[in-house]
Amino acid sequence: MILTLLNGTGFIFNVNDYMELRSKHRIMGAPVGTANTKGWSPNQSTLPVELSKFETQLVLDEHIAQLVDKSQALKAPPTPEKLQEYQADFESRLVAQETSLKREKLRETERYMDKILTGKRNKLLKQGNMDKAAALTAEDVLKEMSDNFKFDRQNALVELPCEHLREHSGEKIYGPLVDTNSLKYRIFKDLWKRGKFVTSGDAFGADFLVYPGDPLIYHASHIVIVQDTPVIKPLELVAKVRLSVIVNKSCVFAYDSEDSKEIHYQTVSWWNPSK
Amino acid sequence: MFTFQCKRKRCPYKSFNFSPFPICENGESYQGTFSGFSVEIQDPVQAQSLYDNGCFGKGSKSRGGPASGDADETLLLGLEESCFLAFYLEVLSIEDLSGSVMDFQAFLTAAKQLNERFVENLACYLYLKSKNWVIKSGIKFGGDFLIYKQSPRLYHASFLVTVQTPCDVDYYQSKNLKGVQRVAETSDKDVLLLRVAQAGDVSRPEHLQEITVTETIVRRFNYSTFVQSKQQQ
Amino acid sequence: MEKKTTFSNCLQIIPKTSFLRPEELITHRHVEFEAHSGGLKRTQNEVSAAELEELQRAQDSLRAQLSVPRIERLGGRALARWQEKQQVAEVIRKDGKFENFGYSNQGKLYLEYYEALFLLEVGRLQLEYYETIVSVEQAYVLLLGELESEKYEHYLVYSALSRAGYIVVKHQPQRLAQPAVTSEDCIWALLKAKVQSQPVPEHIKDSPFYTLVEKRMEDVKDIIVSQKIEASPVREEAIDFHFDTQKRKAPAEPSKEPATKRAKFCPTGQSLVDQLKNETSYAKFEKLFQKFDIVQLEGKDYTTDESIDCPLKITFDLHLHNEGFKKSSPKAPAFNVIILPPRFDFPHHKQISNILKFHTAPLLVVSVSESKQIQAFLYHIS
Repeated sequence: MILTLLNGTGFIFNVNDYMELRSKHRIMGAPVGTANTKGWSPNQSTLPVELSKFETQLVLDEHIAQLVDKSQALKAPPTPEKLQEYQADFESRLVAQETSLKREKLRETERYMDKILTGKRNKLLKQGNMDKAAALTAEDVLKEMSDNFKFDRQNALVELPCEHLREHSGEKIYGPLVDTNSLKYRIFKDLWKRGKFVTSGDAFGADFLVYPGDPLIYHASHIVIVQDTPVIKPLELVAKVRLSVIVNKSCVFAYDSEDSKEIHYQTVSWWNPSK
Repeated sequence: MFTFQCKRKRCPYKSFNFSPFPICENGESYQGTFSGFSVEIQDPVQAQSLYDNGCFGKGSKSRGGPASGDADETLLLGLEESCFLAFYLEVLSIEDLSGSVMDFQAFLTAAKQLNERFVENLACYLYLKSKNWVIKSGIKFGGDFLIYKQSPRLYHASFLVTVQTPCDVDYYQSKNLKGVQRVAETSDKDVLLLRVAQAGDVSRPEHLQEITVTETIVRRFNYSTFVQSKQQQ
Repeated sequence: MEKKTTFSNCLQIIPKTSFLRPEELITHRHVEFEAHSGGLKRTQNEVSAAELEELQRAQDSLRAQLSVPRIERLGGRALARWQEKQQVAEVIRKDGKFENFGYSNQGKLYLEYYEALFLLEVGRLQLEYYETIVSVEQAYVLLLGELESEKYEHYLVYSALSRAGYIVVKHQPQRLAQPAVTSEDCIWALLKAKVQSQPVPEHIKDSPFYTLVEKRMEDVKDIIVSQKIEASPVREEAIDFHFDTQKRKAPAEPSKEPATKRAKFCPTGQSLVDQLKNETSYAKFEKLFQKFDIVQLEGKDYTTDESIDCPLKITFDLHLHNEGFKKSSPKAPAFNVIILPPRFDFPHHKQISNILKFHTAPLLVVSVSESKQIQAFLYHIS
């Protein structure tokens, strides 16, 4: 799988790649593209998906995907030959639509045949052509439509592909994108290796959110606070634990063991003696 | 224009005649003992009076004012409110465990050992007190103070107050502010950030007048519903 | 990214997918997407068959949602050309409503990178680069770039606020001349503030009528409210920010403070939590309150000697659609927008007051989280 280097991290433009990352490798990323479909709520986004730097680093570490800088290839002007090739290809894709568009036009005509027939008959009646009006059939209308169909280039459909569909090149990037020895990254990786879905929790007021399965159908079970030391300030303890209570999750403080070899997790729950 | 919540509690107290301060008549003062982490009022009459007039302190066996009825229940005063009552309102006399009266300097030294930001907290306490707020500890919401209109018995807290010095930056970390904001928001409070400009040497009560504060209120804004409400007009 | 530890080599990329066939173009053109509603989410993973089935359905639905292609008639989109050197998109052909997009320069219409990408992604713009139509992927490379950049956050915020229904334009720094404010304007602004919680514009607050009108309205309200207290034991009230534009009352006792202290205090700084001074309990004990009213609000600092290193600046102005926005003569915006990228601290009082020195619209701090969630925060400062 190939990730495109953008914004200093990995992006995915292919839906299959994304679904594979998500369902097979528990990598969530965040859709950042604006959807063209009407009826989407303003906070729903589509492809491309941007991976966080931690996620990109993780898929590189685990050899799940490669990160590629395509900027040189996609910014370079095409050679005259490439341009010619492109234009010929583009033109052929337009022209290839002639029969399909004609068929679609006839399908449309059939769909509204009753209305079209009534309209045409009324017109003939007004002109006094009673016989023609009576004789007019659906076949006549379709034949007329078919004979008069003219392919107009402007009506040809153009797809704006999400991923770049022409052959191109890129430079492999090996990273690292983040300090892989940092406590936060090690905790992220450790939680992921335990089979969880892990996302950033900064919108919530935490470092990570941990899900027992795909967030599509599971709520996050824990908020995780990364602690530089095992000592938790009282105000911080209350602030974070209360936060976890109001969002109905468990609060986990994560910190390094003294020899930095192991990560410790401390779950704190709120006990209300009056309940 | 800024408005905030003052949500009245569902409670039997309709409106009761209260005073924002305990007033000492004929020069007598309340007696408290500094126990090492708070100031305790042993006398039940004094304890009740302090709680009823300005909602100072907390019963040692109760969530609010002393209410257990036990003879050994005392009123525990926080550091800032003790300091306020003793050295600004001058109605409280604080003794240490050996029985000698603590002056401002002695109390300050002891309080700073418990909380290195005591002076900043005290400045904010005074600042808010002078604006007629009832001030309680904010620890249960992860802030420094909770401030109430009139009394916690009558109103829910309007603000969760966080005291900051120019050197602490943690509060402004996006995840921390968002967390505190979310906690406050779910209980209909606003977050009030009081930033205290560096205090110089404080050795007498009036030295606090050299301190200034700034107020910042950060409130989550639902931009979608706002624009929808505008479009319906 | 640390360049030193990075070494790279070339890779040839042959896309796995190809362009849609003519029949597919027609059938996929009007794909209606129906949002997946999976009901309540689960809190535990029990690895049951029902769960796996539910997950499969949810994933299929997500796949379908993310697969909706962008198809339009060749003549059905606006057309622009990307100019790499100038980093702008020059509009060749407009289409549909275009008046809230772009800027003119020497008779040509140009789009900002965020406008171009937005129009491209919603299927309204065909962007060409050296006579080829760019893919979404190529557009990201050209318009936003491979390096870490604030452009990404700016684009997300632009897109989210535009979709929410705002007209989002590049921030215009100049101050606009305001017409004279009448007392009637004050009344309307106050009513709007109370009833619709719209902020009172600064120019109205500055009017000499404002305090007067407000006081009068407060008095009337007090009379009404005080009757209500007896009637209902449970009530909610919002105390309004009482704007006290007069100087602080002098303490009853002679002030021992040095003169410099008073001089430092600037009356334009307003407390946001002064309202309880209107309570009867305050009036009753006013002298006592003033006795310890010694910690002061820091005045607004208009000095510029203390240069504040604030990485944040106003990026966008927001206008509302029904307020007759015109690109050529924009009115005062509804909001100024500061964008807060992930890992940035929230701005503090000094930074905000510095920014507010020159701007009058309410300030929205829009935070883009690491998980690309967009949250807006309204700042009020003393």
